[in-house]
Amino acid sequence: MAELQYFWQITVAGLGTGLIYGLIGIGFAIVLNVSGIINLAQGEFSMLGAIMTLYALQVLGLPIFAAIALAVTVVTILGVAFERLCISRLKVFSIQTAIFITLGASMFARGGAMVAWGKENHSLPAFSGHGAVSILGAAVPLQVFWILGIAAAVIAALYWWFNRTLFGLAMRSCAENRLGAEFVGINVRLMVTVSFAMSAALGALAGIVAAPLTFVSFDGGLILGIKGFVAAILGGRGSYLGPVIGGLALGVLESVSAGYISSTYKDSIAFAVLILILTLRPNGLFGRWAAR
Amino acid sequence: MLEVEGLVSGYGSVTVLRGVAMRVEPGEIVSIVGANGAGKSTLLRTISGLIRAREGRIRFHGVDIGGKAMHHIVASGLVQVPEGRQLFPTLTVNENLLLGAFARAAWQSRHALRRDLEKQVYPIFPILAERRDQLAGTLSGGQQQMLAIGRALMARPRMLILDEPSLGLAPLVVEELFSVVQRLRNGGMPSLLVEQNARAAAAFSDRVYVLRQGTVVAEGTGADMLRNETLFSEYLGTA
Ligand SMILES: Nc1ncnc2c1ncn2[C@@H]1O[C@H](COP(=O)(O)OP(=O)(O)O)[C@@H](O)[C@H]1O
Ligand SMILES: [Mg+2]
Repeated sequence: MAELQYFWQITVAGLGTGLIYGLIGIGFAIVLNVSGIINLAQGEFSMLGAIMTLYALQVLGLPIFAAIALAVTVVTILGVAFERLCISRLKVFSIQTAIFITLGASMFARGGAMVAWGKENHSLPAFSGHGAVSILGAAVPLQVFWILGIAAAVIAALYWWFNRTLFGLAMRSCAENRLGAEFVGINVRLMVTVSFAMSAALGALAGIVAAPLTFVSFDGGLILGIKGFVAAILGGRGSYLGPVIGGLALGVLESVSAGYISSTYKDSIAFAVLILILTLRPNGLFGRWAAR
Repeated sequence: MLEVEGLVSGYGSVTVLRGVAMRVEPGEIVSIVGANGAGKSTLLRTISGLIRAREGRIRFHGVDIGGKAMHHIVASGLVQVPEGRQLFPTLTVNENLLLGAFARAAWQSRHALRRDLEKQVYPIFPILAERRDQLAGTLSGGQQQMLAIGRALMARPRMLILDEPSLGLAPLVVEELFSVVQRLRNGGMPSLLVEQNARAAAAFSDRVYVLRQGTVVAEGTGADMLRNETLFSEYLGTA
């Protein structure tokens, strides 16, 4: 009985972090689908979101939700500026060059955050206190409910956007056939910019809502980015549901391995999963990676 | 309606068009014929703004559209049904059609656009109404070409450009497509099209341009072209 209890507790913890990976994975998937670019600075959006929220809270003295709104807005603007200034200005566009540029941007963002905010770890208060609720005996921190609510809202909004609006459909069409989209009169470059805006906002939100469970540091985005990438690959790139399921799978796997084996290997799990998926199921667990 | 003068265009360091002049008047169907590699698609791509002209002028309804972005050109009513159709194969027929309206109605509700479908596309291609929820990639070649034309019509074009619409299709289907183009012309929408079958093109167009190695080497009415046997053999190498 205690065995089962322990397993349940571990699983619930894994689901919480898994949702975060999933949100970051959606950010990856949106940019990748629309533009073909793997944005290696995706995790940096999360780090910047968390740090800016802290800044708005502690330095500007804003209340928590105003601080979050400000941070998400600023990170979104940074994402758009990054795409407009660095990516869409490439004289000769190539996916490879763009990916290298995102790598440079991620290092730049980490360096900038370190200079501006220092090397220490900081903590962001939980949105509604540090309490926990017991669900079938597992203690679930209140913050996890925030994560759950935000993830649900994001998925619903994305479903509406991609399936019910012509603009969202146009973004999907760029992923499907870029040339076809141009002939239809879709401004593909604008769609790429919009995809960066969406993934920056999502990344920031994920980083902010996750921060109270861990801590905030200048280099926290790196590992989050990798986890999100694995979530996106695991889920197959088709949609926004895929990365969430991939993220949940990765989160539980990590949590279980840390709980039963050792937490030393927690981060290596993501890499192992990445390699396994890429060699055994390159289409993701649910297939569609190569479907185009 | 559409006037092209001294058009020079190509890819990178390769020059394909070397000073092309042509025009399409209201109420006309104009064909461009020529051997493979003559530059027909390049001409259409340059007119549509996919490739930027190096020299020359392109005017549509008196407005200089040379150098404008493709989405502006589509929004101004010059819409191309491209070579190879360029559909969205894993989206449904209806979704493909709705996307055709993007340039003029990005923020309109999909509900309002569905009414446009029923008025502007389904009456012309009833088969698309039957297949509306099917994925575009599962349609036959002829149906895909109808979908490509239907998608272009959703933009409410003032003029249609078609790049080899008959490629790989059965004669009966080609006949149906041509009659649609003619009906559209009679309704006031002129067309500029590229045809690999010069005889068919001449038979159903008002005027024909013969393109060879990036220049216009002959021009005439469809009837002239049909009478002039040497033109066909000399410039097209086909009987
Ligand atoms: N994307 C491209 N890049 C470089 N050269 C091209 C490209 N597309 C076509 N060409 C070249 O331009 C010339 C004209 O091609 P095109 O306009 O497609 O001919 P057509 O449509 O008359 O068959 C050909 O020699 C072809 O090889
Ligand atoms: Mg061609």
